[in-house]
Amino acid sequence: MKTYRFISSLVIVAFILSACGAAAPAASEQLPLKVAWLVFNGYSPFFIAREKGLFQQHGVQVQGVQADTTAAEIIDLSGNAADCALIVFSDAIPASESNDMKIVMVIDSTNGADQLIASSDVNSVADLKGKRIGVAFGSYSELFVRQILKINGLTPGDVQLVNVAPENLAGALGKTVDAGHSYDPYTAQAFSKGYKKIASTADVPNLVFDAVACNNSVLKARPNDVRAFVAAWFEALTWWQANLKDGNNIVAQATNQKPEDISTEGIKLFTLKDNQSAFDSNNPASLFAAAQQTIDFYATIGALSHAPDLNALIDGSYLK
Amino acid sequence: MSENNSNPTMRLPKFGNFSLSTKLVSAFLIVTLIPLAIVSYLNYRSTTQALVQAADVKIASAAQETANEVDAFFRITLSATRVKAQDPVIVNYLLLPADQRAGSVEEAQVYKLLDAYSREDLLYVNSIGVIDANGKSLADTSQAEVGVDKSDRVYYQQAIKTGLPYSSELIFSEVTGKASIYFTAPIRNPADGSIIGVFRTRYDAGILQSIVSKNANLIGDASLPVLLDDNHIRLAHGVLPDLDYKTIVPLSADALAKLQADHRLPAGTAQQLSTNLPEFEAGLNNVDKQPFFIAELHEQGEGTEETTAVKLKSHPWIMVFGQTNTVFLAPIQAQARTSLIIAIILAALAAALGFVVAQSLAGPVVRLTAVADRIAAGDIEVQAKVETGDEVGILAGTFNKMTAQLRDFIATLELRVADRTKALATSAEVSRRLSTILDQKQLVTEVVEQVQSSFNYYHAHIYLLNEAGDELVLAGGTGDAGQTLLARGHKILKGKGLVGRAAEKNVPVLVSDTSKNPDWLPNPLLPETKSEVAVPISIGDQALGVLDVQHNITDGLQQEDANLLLSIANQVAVALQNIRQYENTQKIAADMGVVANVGIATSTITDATLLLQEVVDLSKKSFKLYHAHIYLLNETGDTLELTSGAGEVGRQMVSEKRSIPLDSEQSLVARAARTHEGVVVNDVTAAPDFLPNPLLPDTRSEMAVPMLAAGKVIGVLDVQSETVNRFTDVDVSIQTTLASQVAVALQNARSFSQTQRQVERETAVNLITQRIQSTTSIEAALKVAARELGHALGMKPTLVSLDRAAPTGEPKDN
Repeated sequence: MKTYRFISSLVIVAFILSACGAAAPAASEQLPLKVAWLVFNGYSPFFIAREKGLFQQHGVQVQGVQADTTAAEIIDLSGNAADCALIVFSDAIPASESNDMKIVMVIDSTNGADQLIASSDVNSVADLKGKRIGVAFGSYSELFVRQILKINGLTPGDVQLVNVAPENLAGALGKTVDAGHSYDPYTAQAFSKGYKKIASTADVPNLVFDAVACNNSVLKARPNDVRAFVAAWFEALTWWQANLKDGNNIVAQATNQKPEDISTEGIKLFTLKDNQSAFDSNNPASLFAAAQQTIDFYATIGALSHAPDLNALIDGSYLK
Repeated sequence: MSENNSNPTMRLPKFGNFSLSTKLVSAFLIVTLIPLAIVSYLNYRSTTQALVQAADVKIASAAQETANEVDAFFRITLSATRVKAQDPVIVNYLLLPADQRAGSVEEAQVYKLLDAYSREDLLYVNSIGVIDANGKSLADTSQAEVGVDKSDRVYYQQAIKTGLPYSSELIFSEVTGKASIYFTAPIRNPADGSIIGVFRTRYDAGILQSIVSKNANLIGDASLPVLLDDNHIRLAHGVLPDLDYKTIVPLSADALAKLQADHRLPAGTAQQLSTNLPEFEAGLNNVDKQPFFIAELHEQGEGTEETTAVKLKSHPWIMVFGQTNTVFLAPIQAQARTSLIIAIILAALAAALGFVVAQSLAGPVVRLTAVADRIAAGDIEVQAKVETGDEVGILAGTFNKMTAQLRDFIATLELRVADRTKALATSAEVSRRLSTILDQKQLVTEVVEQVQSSFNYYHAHIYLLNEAGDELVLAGGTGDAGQTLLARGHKILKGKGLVGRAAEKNVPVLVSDTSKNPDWLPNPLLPETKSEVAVPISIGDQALGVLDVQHNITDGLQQEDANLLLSIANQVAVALQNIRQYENTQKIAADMGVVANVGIATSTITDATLLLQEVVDLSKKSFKLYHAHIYLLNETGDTLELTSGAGEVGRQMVSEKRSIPLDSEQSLVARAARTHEGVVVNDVTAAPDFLPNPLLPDTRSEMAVPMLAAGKVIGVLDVQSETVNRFTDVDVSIQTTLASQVAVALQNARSFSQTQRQVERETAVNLITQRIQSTTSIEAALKVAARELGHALGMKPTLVSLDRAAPTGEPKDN
């Protein structure tokens, strides 16, 4: 009996000791998914989903991180100030060299929204020869303009490319540049000064995409949060298309615009089905084709040390 | 066992034979050391696992960190090469027509620029140059390179082909045998983006050794990185640079030749260019499945290393990191030493404690054992000392009680033997006396007196079952109480009380303490009774009575008394049966004597009526009957007519000419005649169809036996008694014998009477004949005949007529 008691005591002590040694599990608290964004009407489903609580309904807390430029968004990604970012796809190619990330969803492709604006005396792209053209160096802006020049038989040597951000083009026109790239709503400022559109992304389809990029570390640690984000996005898109006016009011409030300025003209918003086709490497209009053009562009300007592994960079598995 | 045949092999003593203190010390040691050993083992295992896991985390982190540093070198160098390739000085130089380049201002600027670049790293960068679009080296910090055609070099071809910067594998120079890494980037025409040349930087491969070796001992002593290429050729070794450019295991001749042809290995044999560490090689080949493995990373090491490997991003290379097991497991050895010291201290303490406890426990037990030995030797006066209040103390107290009881037992043993002897003697005496007693009353008296006096019981008495078997009637008891109860005709119903139950169940019923038995009923004549036992007096299953004994001492009667008394009761039962059989035999003999006397008395009586009257009178008197009478079957054989009856009642009934039809169902007499067998009704009050005779009101039992002569019934002898159950089978037999004798005598008397009449008739005929013959005439003869016949036949006057038709002179009877 005493032996039995002794052994029982020993077992209890052993349990207590082992319990003391075991680290108490930290209380699980859901971390927000930090998403970098900037003002662009194609990103409207993001604001609608956030306002209508669709992210929470799908089980993910989303915290917005506002940025001014795509470069700023990528810097946020790189420094872990953001987990994901709503960015221009082509900008992800050079960024992927130093930042381990993936493209998980296509938001839209610009089909006219990005425009080449020129003074009224310029009637065609060909007329730009010898002119100063404002582009954001090393970004999709330069890619777009170079492609427009290329399809119009011009080389970068035929013009003078000047580094101007699309957001600042209206101010530079007539001063440091004769033409340049910008997008809605900034094109409206240029138009009001008498400038006009001479080319757009409608002339180079399937080149400029907006996409959701996420850090690989977040994708590994919280894949379901990203899936929930994507699902909520599509739900918001569907709702917006069915409730355009209400949706526009939400977007206007979120981006500090007037509701009437909210327009998706020149933007093709990608549904789930569109995404599935964009992530299909066999599709000639897929992200893979656009990526190759982008790689060539960056290689040409000497901005790329490695060709990225596209199969690692473009990952459609989070659409499901 | 003698020494000669003793078993030479040593036999270990069984644990059960060890002394108590040895067992206790052993138990203490086992109880202390086994848990300690288990805990230590578990602790050892968990600590080892924790240390290994911690080491794994560290080596994985160190491997990744070192790999990142190598990758960073490549990434930065590649980026720098890319950016340098875009320098307008170089672009403008290359945009010059080929024949205008030499000696141009642009060329001088290019050389200045290249010299400036070379100052970035004077140690490892040994050549920076510009190659034109055709692969010709145009300008280089190493003059030997100028003018050399590089178009066959991989680094040139890759830059042209991909349009992207390129970093080479380690390339061994055919000339110097030195290993180098080449970084190239295409130089483009900014106007149209076309490639117009290649910018090239050559690094001494020692840069890798420089980077990797800095991380030796990164996570502690005996930790080291090893950089391997995709052929597992060491590119850099954390502590042993001599192993650089050697494979882990010897390569096959073909593989070696191919790598040497590709300038991936220097000149030398497989033996010279390899180590032989197959475990290391196997671990690397399995690293995708098992990221951590134990292997010897170099032959000069101290034992094996816990190892992991990660892949680089810049090249298909592997960064291995390992740490010698004994280093990171050193804490476990310290812990093992501590555990051992604790175990030794605990073992010593446990042994000491066990010894002390053993002494405190075993001391009293040993002394108690000595006491037990003395008791075993016959010293029952010895007392054990009660030293403690625990189980051993209780045992000592119990020991003392036991010896006290032993002394008491031995002291009373002689008394008990004497008692037992006396009991046996009494039993024998009773037995002896019983064999000579043939009187039941005397027997009962003798038994109760003997039993009471021999054992000094308070009281003893015997009950006997009545003939009906439903009551136990007191047959004898000791003292005044016994006499009083006997005089009262004391009886007990069978099944009631101790006595009744003993008779009913045929087993002794013992009440050792009457005060504790609520069912026990006191007898006012025996007020001192404290215990009582009733034992059945029985032959087999048949109870004859009960011997009841009472004592005035509580528990004075025990089971052994019951056993003794049962033995005596069995002897009494046999004696009682003997007496009863003796009495029965006596009665039969007397009855047979009566039968003989009746036979003699009636043998001389020739008159039937007298004969029968004598029989009934004698029967009634001799057999002490209430009544006896005889019915005779009439000549037609259908009615039994009362012929004689004893006494006045009998004569009166005869005079009334009573008769019974032979076929009367209810009549005992008719039934005996019909069946030729004796019929008995032993309790007429219980017989529903019995017809009481007003002249015989006291009849309680009746017996009718047939009177048989030559197998035929001639009558019935019917006898009656005032007592219930008066007639037995023996009585039937005796009375049947008597009846048969009477029947024969009656037949004799009847024959005698008939013979006598025949003689008288023949005498009368002879006389008439003589008188007729003495006549001389017919008429006289007829007169004489008529007169004599009338006289003989008692008829007058007599008329004689002659029939003339008669052929003969023979007279006719009328």
